[in-house]
Amino acid sequence: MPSPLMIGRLVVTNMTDAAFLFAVASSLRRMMIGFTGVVIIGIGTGLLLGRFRFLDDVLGTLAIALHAMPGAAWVPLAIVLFGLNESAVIFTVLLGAAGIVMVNTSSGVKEVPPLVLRAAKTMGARGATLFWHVIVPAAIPRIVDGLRLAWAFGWRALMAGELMVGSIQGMGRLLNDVAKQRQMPQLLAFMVIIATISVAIDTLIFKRVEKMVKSKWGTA
Amino acid sequence: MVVLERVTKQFSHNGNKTDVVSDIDLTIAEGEFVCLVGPSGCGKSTLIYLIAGLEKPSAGRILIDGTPITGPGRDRVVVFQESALFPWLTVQQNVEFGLKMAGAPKAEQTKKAGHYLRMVHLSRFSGAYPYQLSGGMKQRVAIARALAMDPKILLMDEPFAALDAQTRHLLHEELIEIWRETKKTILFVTHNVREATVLADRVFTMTARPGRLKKGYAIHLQRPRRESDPHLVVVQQRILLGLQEEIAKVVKDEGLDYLVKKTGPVAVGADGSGGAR
Repeated sequence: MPSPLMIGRLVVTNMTDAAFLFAVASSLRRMMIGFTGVVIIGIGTGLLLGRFRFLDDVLGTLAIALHAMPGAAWVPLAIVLFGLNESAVIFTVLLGAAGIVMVNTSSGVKEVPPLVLRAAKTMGARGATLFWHVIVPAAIPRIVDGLRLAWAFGWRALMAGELMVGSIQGMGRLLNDVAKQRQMPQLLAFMVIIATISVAIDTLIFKRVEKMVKSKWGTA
Repeated sequence: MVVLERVTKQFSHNGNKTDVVSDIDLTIAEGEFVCLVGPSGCGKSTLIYLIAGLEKPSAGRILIDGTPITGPGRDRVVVFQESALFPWLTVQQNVEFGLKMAGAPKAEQTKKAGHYLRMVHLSRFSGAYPYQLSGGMKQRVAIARALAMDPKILLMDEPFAALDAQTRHLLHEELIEIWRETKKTILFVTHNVREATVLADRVFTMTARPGRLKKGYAIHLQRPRRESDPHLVVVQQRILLGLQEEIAKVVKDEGLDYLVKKTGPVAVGADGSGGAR
């Protein structure tokens, strides 16, 4: 086993290596595209499911099934649909992470505190106005929860996709390459970096937003 | 004027229908301040929701100035036990909300919200969010929010129940001040007998399960009133005596009557809560 010190040194070397940083950037770019899709499709579908009972009856189970599927399980389908390319990876991220956002958004919409609804109704809020001015903002803590989980799920799906697609530039391919060459220290250094990036983004962005929302909405 | 004619509300639970409030006849005059007191679970809040139009009566009808109500309306606004402010809006935006829903121009929203925030002495906090306010401040914002819609009737559902005695006392004075200034009709629900006597022109007691109006007490004492005013204390005692019977019923229903047997009759606190609690 390589020593932690050695891995630490490798991590630092990698972080100053242009080729490595380029690979990280390609992976992050894919993640961003996929996650943008997750935000739009996940929240959009979730709002529809929460708003319209009949849609929820038909598609609600599907959203839960989507959410139950491990991200990696989408990769073969993605490869069949798109080939061994970037689109397949983005598709994997999208499907691996959209489910949790749908489920959280729709339950956030359905579980708005009755008191909030009553107050809104006595002040004349109805229909679409009630939905956009009261129900959606009231659901924000749940939506943010969903997005934070989706980030973690998406990151796993991204790695699964990149590892299996293999041919495209990115962290997954780097992992594959060093594994084939049996370079244990470098492999571990990459893994440390992958975990660190995920934790850093979670802590710097998602945790902060979640904390802010929770204290403001009083759901903490 | 608010008129309730033989209003009954049933809720069904697994096929069993129970009357929550039953056969309520009540007339509240324009500009009158009426308090309803009763043991917990007597349907006081349900009555508020019925008048607010949030619930429909199972029988009977409710008329506002002669017109039966069909649902929530801007002429009747509720101040709830918890503030029910919208946490994502600032104090100012919360107070503007009803006006915005009514499609009032932005300038009018700002002006009216400012006016009512001054009335509850919270102008300084117009930019704050609800989570930054104390319980008493939240309720004052909730009152300002209700007043901003300029309703005829203010329905208050134990609005001060969660506040400490000191804050409650201050808010009583403030509410009386506001009531005099705006001449609203107020229906105020509470389980606190002292609170009711300090505020109301008339106090009605309710029976427990089903909730019926038991008795009315007119209070002709000048305001501001002091809780410990000897005249009020006499009324408070009379009301409490009437309520004791109802509280004993609740105690029995809830299987707490063994406490009564052991300790003698339930002592009733002056705030109307049973000693067994």
